[in-house]
Amino acid sequence: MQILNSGSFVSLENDTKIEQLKFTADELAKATFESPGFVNNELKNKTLGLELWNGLEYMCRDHEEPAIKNIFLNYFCERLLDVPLPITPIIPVSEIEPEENPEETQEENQDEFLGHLENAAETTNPIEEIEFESVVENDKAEDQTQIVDASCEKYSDVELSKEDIEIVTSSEGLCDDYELEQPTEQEDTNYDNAIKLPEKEPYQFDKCTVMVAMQLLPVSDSEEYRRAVLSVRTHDFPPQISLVQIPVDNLDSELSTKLTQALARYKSDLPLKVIDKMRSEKNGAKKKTVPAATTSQVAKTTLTTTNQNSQLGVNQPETSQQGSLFG
Amino acid sequence: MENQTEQNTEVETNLVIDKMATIRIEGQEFELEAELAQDDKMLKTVLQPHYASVENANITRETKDGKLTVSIVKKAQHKGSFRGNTV
Repeated sequence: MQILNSGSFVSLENDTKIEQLKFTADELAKATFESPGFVNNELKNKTLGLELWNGLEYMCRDHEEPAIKNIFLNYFCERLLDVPLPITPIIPVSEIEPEENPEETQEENQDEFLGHLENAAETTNPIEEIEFESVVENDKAEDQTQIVDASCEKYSDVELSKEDIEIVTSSEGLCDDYELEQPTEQEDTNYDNAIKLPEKEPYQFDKCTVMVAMQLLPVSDSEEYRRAVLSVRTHDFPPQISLVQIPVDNLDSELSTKLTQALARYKSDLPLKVIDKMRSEKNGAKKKTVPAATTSQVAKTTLTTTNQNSQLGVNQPETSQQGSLFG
Repeated sequence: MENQTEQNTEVETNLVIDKMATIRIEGQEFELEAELAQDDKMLKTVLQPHYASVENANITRETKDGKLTVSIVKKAQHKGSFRGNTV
């Protein structure tokens, strides 16, 4: 399996491309996890996945893009969630030493994907400030939750822990991204619940889309019965239309019984329709696959016989096909 | 007298005796109550949910041996009638 190149065209019809996309998501997730300083967090994983998706610049059809994007994000996030959380040893504050190479920390600060911004903030601070911040953070935490809640009132369902808030608000860039990316996340969650139909539905009543139309025909005041047209259809089969009479007094219950009867009848007739369709398709295929060689041979033989007959001066009688050609 | 007998036979041939009519549409053939198939508007109402093309279609009826056969042929649309997104 190969990694899908950035900017390549992806469509839902092409299974290999989709598989490549999934594989790419897996590989990216692995690489992300292996990178130092990675913090496994569901919210951050999603924003990271979206960033990666934008960076990959895959070409999709407009109507397919959300679904493909969803596949990518799902695989990416699932892979990251499958990975067990690493147990980080607790280092006492006294053992923390400021890093010797400030250049490296500056480089790491620039990498927003790997989540170093949080660590960088810790490393640049002196040891004394860490203790002071821990006291101040508790006071700020409430304010931060209020800010986040106010900006993201739509997403009140998402439970935010203190760690989440720290990650989101640790840098301005990520905070901006959070606010921008949330609507797309909301869209994605909507697609998770979307009902998807297969391209080719099986010819089974329970496993295919059944279209039922009920039409209540107008009725005059004197009439006690109302006529209704019930039509049932699946696939490309012709509809089964039935005209029924329903007492006006008991319209609802009678209508439901008539409908169940119509559905039961269609269910029993469906296999016959499928068999008929199969037969007609087979016959059509046979007609199409009449070998061209035999037709050419027939044409040759007729030509030779006509030549012989013309030489002999015999008039051939008109065949039925020829007659039908010219009326 | 001869003219009267000819007219009677024509009327007899046009009478719909069979309760079910045959509908031919979009290469398919199926049975439908003759009551529903005799009027254009009724027929369109019944078939509209399944065949959208019936709205602007030519409907021709033929009665043979008391059986009504309705042929529905959709009219060819003008070019450029597509209302999709223009590039």
